[in-house]
Formats: sequence, structure tokens, C-alpha cells
Amino acid sequence: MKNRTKDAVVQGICMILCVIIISPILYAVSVSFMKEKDVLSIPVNILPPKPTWENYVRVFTRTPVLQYMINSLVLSFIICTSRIIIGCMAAYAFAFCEFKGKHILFALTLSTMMIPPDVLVIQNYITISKMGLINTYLGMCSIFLVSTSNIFLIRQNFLSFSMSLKEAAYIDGCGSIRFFTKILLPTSRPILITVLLSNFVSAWNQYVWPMLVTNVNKMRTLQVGVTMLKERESTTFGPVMAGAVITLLPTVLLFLLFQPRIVAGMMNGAVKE
Amino acid sequence: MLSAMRGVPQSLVESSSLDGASPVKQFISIYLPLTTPTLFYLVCTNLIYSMMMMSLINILTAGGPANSTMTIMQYVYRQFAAAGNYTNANPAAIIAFIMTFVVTMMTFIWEKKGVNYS
Repeated sequence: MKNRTKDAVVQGICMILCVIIISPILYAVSVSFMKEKDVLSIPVNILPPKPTWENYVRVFTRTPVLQYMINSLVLSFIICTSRIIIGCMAAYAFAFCEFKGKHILFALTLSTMMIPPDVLVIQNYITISKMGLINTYLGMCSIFLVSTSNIFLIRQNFLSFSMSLKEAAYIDGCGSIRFFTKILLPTSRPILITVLLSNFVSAWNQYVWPMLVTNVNKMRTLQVGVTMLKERESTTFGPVMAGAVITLLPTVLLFLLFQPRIVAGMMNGAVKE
Repeated sequence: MLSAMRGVPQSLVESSSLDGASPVKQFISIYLPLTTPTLFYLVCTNLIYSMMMMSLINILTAGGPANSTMTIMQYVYRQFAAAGNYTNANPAAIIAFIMTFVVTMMTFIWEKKGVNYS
């Protein structure tokens, strides 16, 4: 009985914290259903007094939201796949292969993280525009194709891979490529899902760079499109919040889909020692 | 961290609880040592990101009262964007890079000694 009350107290504290953290998002969802005069009224409306779809209709009629969404999805898809493939392969080299200057190369790779990204924006823009990649998907995603922190994270995971399993594979005549695709990648699925989730969120939320390299409406991403719902003279909170909720949906869906798949026990009982 | 924690083999946790280890003891002697690779990654990257952090300080205090909360990146930004003083900003940025690099390499000493792989 004592355990149950303790559990209930812990659960209660967790729930309260969760509500506090999530409340701004819930309020944004609630504002997106309000009429314009209800948003700034006093006393403050927490829930919409008369829920309407008006804001969403306005978002869909005033801006090509579907086009923005396709752009964002294409961008995130390219960035995610390229980051995961290159990250895995580079991490494999750093974790398992022995070659001259490995540590120096790894230190160099890490040192690219130590340059603040804001410093590079202007130089990157000049490079991309001289290559004629303005208003193309390639130009929009080219500076995100490799992520050092992913290489580092996957390397850490590969290093904790069971050495006896690797030796057993080599003794049975399994080559590097076979070992990489058939043994290493399937067993490190939890870390790949983690990398996929964090990459998708960071690619989806890119704002400054996609805005800089596009100047036609057709190539804008969703994040840039939401800010265009704001009018210069007045502040229309309803449509902006509706746009933000639409932007939020894919990330939440992806989290709900993949988060339970981070499961344990991939390596349990693989080798008898 | 979550995916690393879930990767800890349950057989170890079970056998330790059979031997009467408390949850705190389990956390310190099983979960922490087995997740050090991920912990090391997080310490390293967060160190770098917080050394590079600038916009938050710029918004909150702007280096504030009498330069007491100024960081080196904020100094670079202020020399560069506000004063247009490139000769001060450039060496400061290089010094910031070297500082970050040295601190990161110090965490690699910890990797040699305290991080358990497999």
C-alpha cells in the first residue's frame, strides 16, 4: 500500500511538470481556434469561447501551404538520409579501422563544430550563389548534408559494440561491408532512430538558411511561410498560431511513431562467453 | 541518454536487485558506467555548444552590468557588428577557437581513463 501512494505522488509531480512544460504549446493550439477578437480580450480566454476553423481556412487560402510542406519534407528527407548514411560510414571508419592519423582526422572533424555557424552564413551564401544554386533544393540543403555531432554520436555507439561478436564475424569470413550492413546497422537500430529523430527536428526547424537562399514563393519552406502570415501593421495571432500548429504536426507524428521503437536487448545473448 | 539507458542489459539490473542493491546504488554502479560513451558525447558536444553560445546572452543581458556577464563570443560579436572593429574581432575569434579546442581535448583525457567501451 505504501508503495502505491509513493507511486501516485511521483506520477502526480511528473504530470504537473509535464503540464507546465507543454502549456505554451497547448495555448497555441487553443489560440489557433479562436476568433480574432477573443485572442486579446480581457479576461484572458484559455479555451476558445466559440471554436472556429476560420484561421486554418485562412492559412490554406492565403498561402500555398501544401507547397511549403512538400518543400520542407523534401528538404528534411534529403538532409536526414545523407546525414545518417555519411555519419554511419564515417563513424565505422573512426571506430573499427586502424589507419595513420586517425586521431588527428577525428580532432579535425570535431574542430568543425567549434566554429560558430553564424560566422559562416555570409561566406556560405557567396559560395552557393556563385555555384548558381539559389532557389534549388540542393542549395538549400547542401550545407547540412554532414553533421559532425552525428558522426561523433554514432562512433560512441559503435565503440561500445561487442568486440567478441566482431571477431567472431571476421573469423567466419565476414568482410567489412557485409559486417557493416548485415550485423552492425541492424544491431544499432536504437541509436539510428535517435539520430533520425533529432536530425528530422533540426532539419525541419531550419529557418535562416532556407530563407536566405530562396527568393521565390514556390521554394519557401513551412517555417519561412509561417512568418509570412504575419501582417506588417497588425498582429494576427490566429493564423500565425494555426500555421505553427500545422508546422508542429509532422514532428509530433514522427516522435509518436518512432519513440517506442527505441528498444533494448538487441545485443543480449549474442555471444556466449 | 534515453536510448543509452534502454540499451543497458536487464540481466545485470535483475541480478543486482537480487543481491539487494538499492535503486540509487544500481544507478551509480550499473547505469552510469555503462552509459559513459553517450555521457562523454553529451559532455563534449554541450561544452562546445555552450562555448559557442551567443544569442541567448545577447538577448538576456547584452554583456550586462559593466561587462560582467560577457563571454568571448559576445565580445567577438560586439567588436564585429556593433563597433566594426575587425582587427579586435578576428584574433578574439581565433582565441575562442583555441580555448574550445583545448577544453575539448581535456575531455578526451577523461575518455582514455573513465569511459567504458563494451
